[in-house]
Amino acid sequence: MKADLRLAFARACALAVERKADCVLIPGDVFDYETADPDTAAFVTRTLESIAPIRVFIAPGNHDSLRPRSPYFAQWPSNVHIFMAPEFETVAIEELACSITGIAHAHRGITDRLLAAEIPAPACATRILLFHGSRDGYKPSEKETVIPFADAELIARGFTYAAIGHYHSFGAITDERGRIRAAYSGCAQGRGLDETGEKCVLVGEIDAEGRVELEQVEVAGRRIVRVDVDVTGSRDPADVFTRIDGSLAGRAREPDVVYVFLKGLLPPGMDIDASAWESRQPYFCATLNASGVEPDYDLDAIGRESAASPLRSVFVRAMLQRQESATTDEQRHTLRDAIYYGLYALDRRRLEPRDAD
Amino acid sequence: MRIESINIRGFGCLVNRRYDFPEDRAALIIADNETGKSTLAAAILAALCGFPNQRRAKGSVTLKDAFTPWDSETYAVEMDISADGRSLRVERDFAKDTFIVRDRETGKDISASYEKDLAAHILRLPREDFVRIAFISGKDVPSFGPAPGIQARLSALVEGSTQNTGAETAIAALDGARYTLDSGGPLKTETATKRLSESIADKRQAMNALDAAMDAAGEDAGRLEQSRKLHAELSSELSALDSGFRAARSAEARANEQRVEELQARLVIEQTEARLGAIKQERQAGKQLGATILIGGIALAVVSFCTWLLGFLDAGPSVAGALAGIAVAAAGAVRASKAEVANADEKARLQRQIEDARAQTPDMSVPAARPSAEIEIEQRGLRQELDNISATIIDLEKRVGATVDAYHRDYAVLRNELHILEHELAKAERFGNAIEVAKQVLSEVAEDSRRRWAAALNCGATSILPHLNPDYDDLRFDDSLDFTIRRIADDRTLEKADIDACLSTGAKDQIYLAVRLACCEELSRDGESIPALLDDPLMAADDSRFATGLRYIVESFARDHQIIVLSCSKQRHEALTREPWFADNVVCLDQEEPQ
Repeated sequence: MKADLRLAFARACALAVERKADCVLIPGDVFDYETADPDTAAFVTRTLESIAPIRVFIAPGNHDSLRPRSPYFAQWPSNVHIFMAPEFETVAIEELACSITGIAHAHRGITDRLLAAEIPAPACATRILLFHGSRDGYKPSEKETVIPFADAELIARGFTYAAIGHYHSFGAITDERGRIRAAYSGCAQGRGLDETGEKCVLVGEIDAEGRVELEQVEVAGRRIVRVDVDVTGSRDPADVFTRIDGSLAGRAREPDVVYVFLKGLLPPGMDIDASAWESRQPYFCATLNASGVEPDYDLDAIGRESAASPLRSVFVRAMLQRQESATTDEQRHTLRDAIYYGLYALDRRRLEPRDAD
Repeated sequence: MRIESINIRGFGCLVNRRYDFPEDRAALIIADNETGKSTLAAAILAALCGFPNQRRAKGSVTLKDAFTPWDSETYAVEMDISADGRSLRVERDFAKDTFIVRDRETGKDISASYEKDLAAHILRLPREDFVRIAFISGKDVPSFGPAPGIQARLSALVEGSTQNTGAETAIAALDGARYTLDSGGPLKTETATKRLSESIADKRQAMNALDAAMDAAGEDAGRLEQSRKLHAELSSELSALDSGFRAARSAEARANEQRVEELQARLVIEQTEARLGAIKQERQAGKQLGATILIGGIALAVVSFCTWLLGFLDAGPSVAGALAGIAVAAAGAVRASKAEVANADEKARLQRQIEDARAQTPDMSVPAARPSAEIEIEQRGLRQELDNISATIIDLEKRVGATVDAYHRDYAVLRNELHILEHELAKAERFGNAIEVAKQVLSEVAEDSRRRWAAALNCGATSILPHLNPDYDDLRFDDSLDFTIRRIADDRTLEKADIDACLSTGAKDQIYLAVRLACCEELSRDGESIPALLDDPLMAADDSRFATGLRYIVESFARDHQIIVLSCSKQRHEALTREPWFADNVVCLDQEEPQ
């Protein structure tokens, strides 16, 4: 994975050269402070130095914040400017009639709403803002909140364009005229199941009128591909595997990491040999998770008065009634599981925890 | 189910005995004590259920050992039964440990379709529960405790389950649900979630500690930066002091040399001036002597002239005297004049020498530079301060380094472990919650079932009890198979404890027999009829109650259940043979040799 990340970084830098970029904007999280080693820092500096004289601006994020012995405190190439202050500062690029305003996160990150107030910056034809922050209303649950902002706050600051980091998916912010005013590029290389699909960097152009055009360019050498496959109605494991292969066709390439999540109903007792399937896949890595499959109990039929097994019938009816009155997804999931566990117990089947995914 | 016959080839004291049980009437086998009556009951039970798996402890005898034939090599029984609408032959050879079930119509071995415990298979009552309710021994009657198996079966029956058991077993299975942690074996869900929560708390604590340490390291890094700046400033200051010190030392050396030169010049001047003084004195003395001589010469001349003038002397001596005086005065004047210029060259040289010395004397009026000693003191202070700052820097670097190293080493690992643990905890909690919900709902269903089977059981029991003991009625079971009765005489409800403690042996005997028969009746509902084997029933009852009770059993209860009665009370039964109901419902069997 480290090699994949480096490859994506190198490709992104090569793209800057290829497209004759005036400058490269990196809004943080170039590396992970916790795991970054000197080799990583050396790679990053070497790669950025190789694209000189293209100027590179880095606004450290919450994962590569300025902490003791951060690689940012080391010597960086002359074409790289790292914003080192925990307040906004501006660098002018006179030949481009442009200014870059940036900020660095220090330690655990800045959590103040810094964009609620004016950001001092010299008057300039093109004013670019570079920071690592949390857009209100779009924050993934596992993400920390750093420099939170509302779209209106950001637009009100009057910058021509803001390059924002933190969220790992692409997202553009437009003003009332539909003009792009800011964007998250997303991460350049997916690293987990929450970072699936194409991972890109943005190539942008700002014209004299301040109009911004962005192009997403994929630099990741490997995609994380997740497919959810409904196996309801499969007659046997071979049928299930055929459905999986059909779902993956055209969506996954050999270098990709593939994660298949099975859901739906299968006849009780039909075992899916995940490891056997995984071992014969051509992908870089393939994982098959069958925990979403539910035994093919016809709950409605069981719930109807059944002379053969009134106990199961009574139980299922009681559970379905509870499920109907459930108010949260969590309650519904728990009750769904409870139905199966109860039926397993009544049918003397082994009680295995279902996955919480 | 009906036991049609048993052929005992060898079992305890019984060898080659055969019993054919009547189809439509109760079978009564009367035999004296120690003639194999209980052995026959045991043989029927063993033929039906086999022996329980008992471990042979040292010095103890298993049930199977206890019935090893006394004088036969063969330890085997054959029993014909009808069940499931089929006629079956059960062949058990206990010596060879073989078990065969044959379809009597085809003679085919159909053992594979049957469990070894046929009571469990056919009646859905494992051996233990079957014995508890259907193998009724007079001496064991007044004991009947909670029986989870029977309760479960009753539940299953009332719930209409085709399985052996109902909600009780499922609840027990849910109760026994275990969550397997990667780090340990299967655990109760609460234990697993507790352990996971503790592990998560530990990880979070460790991460918080690392975060706090990093915050402190951040402050230390700030202090380190300041210390480094201060160190640089002080180093520069010390460097300046060192330069100043060296300059001061040079200045001081130069000043010392000048001092020496000054002293030397002063000495020269003093010596020269002393010589000039001497010259001056010499000149003074010469001038004084010249003047004295001059004055003397003048005086001589004057005196000589005056004496001539006065005539004391002649002109010659006076002129001679005057001339001599003038000559002496002239000599004195010359001498004085010479003394005035005596040593003039030396004086001029000496005066030049003094001027030279003065010219060479260093200008000590220039203010002296800062003394080196003072600078040295300051240097020492500064060096001490630098040493202290260096020590602080080293200490801070060590602390920051150690913290950062620990953070890099542990934090990502801890975060990863925490992520896994949190996922595991969510899974375990969801599992536990779902199991609890399933248990709760099944318990509610089971409670309802228990109420229903208790009500059904009560209905049967209440109708049975008065036939066995008319002094009591209203036999009521609760859902744990505990029961109460009402004593008609005082309308008092007696708990099971009261029954055990207060009632006569005979009354208890009759009540517990009613309890068992009620269970048999209820458990036979919607399924195979449970045959009952009564070994000396109602032993403690008086003749009247004995007759009433036996009549109920063989006349009413036997309508739906096969009844086999073993008794040693020949007289009691012979007395009853005259009763029409007895003749109509009971067949007395003798022990017969197998055909």
